[in-house]
Amino acid sequence: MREQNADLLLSRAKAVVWIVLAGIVTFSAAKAWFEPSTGLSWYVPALVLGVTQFVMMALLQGHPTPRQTERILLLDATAACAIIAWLGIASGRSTGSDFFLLGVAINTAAVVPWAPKRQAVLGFVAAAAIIANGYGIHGSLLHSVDFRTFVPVVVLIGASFYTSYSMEAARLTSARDQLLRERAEAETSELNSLLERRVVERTKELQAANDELEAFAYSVSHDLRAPLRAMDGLSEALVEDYADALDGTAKDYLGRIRSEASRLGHLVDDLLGLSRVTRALMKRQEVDLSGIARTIAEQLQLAHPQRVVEFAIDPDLRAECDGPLVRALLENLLGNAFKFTQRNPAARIEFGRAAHDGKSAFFLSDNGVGFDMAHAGKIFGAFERLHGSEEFEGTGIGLTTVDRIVRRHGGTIVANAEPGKGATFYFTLSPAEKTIL
Amino acid sequence: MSESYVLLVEDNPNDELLTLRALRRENIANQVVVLRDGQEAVDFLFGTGAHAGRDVSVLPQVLLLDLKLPKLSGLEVLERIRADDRTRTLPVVILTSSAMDRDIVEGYRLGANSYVQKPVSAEEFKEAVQRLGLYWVLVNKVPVTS
Repeated sequence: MREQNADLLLSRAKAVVWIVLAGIVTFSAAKAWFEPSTGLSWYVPALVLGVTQFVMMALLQGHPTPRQTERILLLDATAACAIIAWLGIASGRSTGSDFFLLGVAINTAAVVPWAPKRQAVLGFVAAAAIIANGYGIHGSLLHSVDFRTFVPVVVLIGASFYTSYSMEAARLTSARDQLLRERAEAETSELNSLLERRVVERTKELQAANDELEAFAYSVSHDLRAPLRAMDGLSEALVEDYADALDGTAKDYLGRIRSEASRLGHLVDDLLGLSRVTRALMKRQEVDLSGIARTIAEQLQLAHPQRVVEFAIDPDLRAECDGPLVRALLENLLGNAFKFTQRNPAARIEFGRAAHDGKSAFFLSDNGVGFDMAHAGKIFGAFERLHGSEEFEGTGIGLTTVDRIVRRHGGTIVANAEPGKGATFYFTLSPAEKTIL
Repeated sequence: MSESYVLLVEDNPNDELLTLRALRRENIANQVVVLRDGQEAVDFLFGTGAHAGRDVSVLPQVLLLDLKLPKLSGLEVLERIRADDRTRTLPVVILTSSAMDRDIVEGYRLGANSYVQKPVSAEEFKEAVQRLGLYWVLVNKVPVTS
């Protein structure tokens, strides 16, 4: 509102000045023509000043750049100084030339390109020029023979300075705003490009690290297995080929070597699986979870024909998820359920969908040994085990893998268990709001 | 050399020992030719280099090919085998420690007939090798070489 009022005031002042200027220029021109004796000393300067003001205002009206504005205002100030000098000389006072010199000094100071201080300098010039004009007029007034002649000059100078500097103020404010905006934009774009460069650099570093990890995983997969196979295979060959030469203790020792080699082999496989799960590219598509679970259940049964386990798999479990990753997830969860129910002659493993915590989630439950919920916080950590390796085999990486797969899908997984009663895992494969119902 | 033989390309002496031991149990170890790097395998099959002048018309029943080999990798050997008319149809079984997806995919893409990951467990390894030997030597039929 205030800005609008100021604009209105300024435009009205301008209109008045235009009219006054036009009047004064005509009046001065006529006086100078018809009364050359006084006209030359008083009206010619008024005419010159009037014309300069006209030209200046016309130029300012044409939306010059801040730099052009500065030049126009300098021209104006110079013209004003020259007029003052003229008036001073015409009135017979030496002060006129003093003011002229002062004006020249101020204007020179203003043209010196102290770019950052330019606005302050211009403000200073404006103030000094007004004072100089004031004194000039004052001096001229004292020596004026004709008060009537002097009036238009006073009005002219006062009005011209009022307009030109109020225009300058408005112009400079908008110029400063534009400058600040441009500077802010430049800074923003510089920051943006810096950020982009950083992102590119970091991506490259990450890619390199990922490639290194891949190469490492490859070596682990290849080079760590070979010695383990030799340990196990040669121990086995020793037991088989030299059975007569070895007593029970020797065979027991060899058995221990073999079982450790085999454990390390599984650990290598599981770690590889975990690293694959972490690095694998994800591709979401409609996946038939029931089908995958049935296949895994059949494989488990086939590998352990002596076990009797009842699988209750909901036939319509589907989700938008990454097939291979979710297969690894189900292999781990079903494998665990199968493993931990081995002492239950009526083992039952159920896979379905249920509401958990107000959301629809998949669940996988078993009636195996379960675990104490006091340790529930640990089960998803790598190498954490709640059962001794003599009790149940395992590397402690399976649930870490499961957790990572769930998290890569933006889902959550929680366990609910009770010792001796079994365990249930609830999991989702998408962020909460997108959970498929 | 007997007419029918198995070619094993394997640089790890322990794997070689365990493979031969397992095959011996199935009485096929005496028909196994062992080569220790990729270049040697190529030279042997094409009668070049150290095997210059060898009669290359009699192909093995099967080539058991490791992937990580000195000089030429198993995949490079496979590529050359498939590029040559004389060996284009030779049955090649990749027998390796690697379980990397890209090796499996690349192996089949280059024309492997089978891909077997060497199990760490002694029993499983023995069983895998014996099954391979039985199947490719006794069950599988290859064209009679002219």
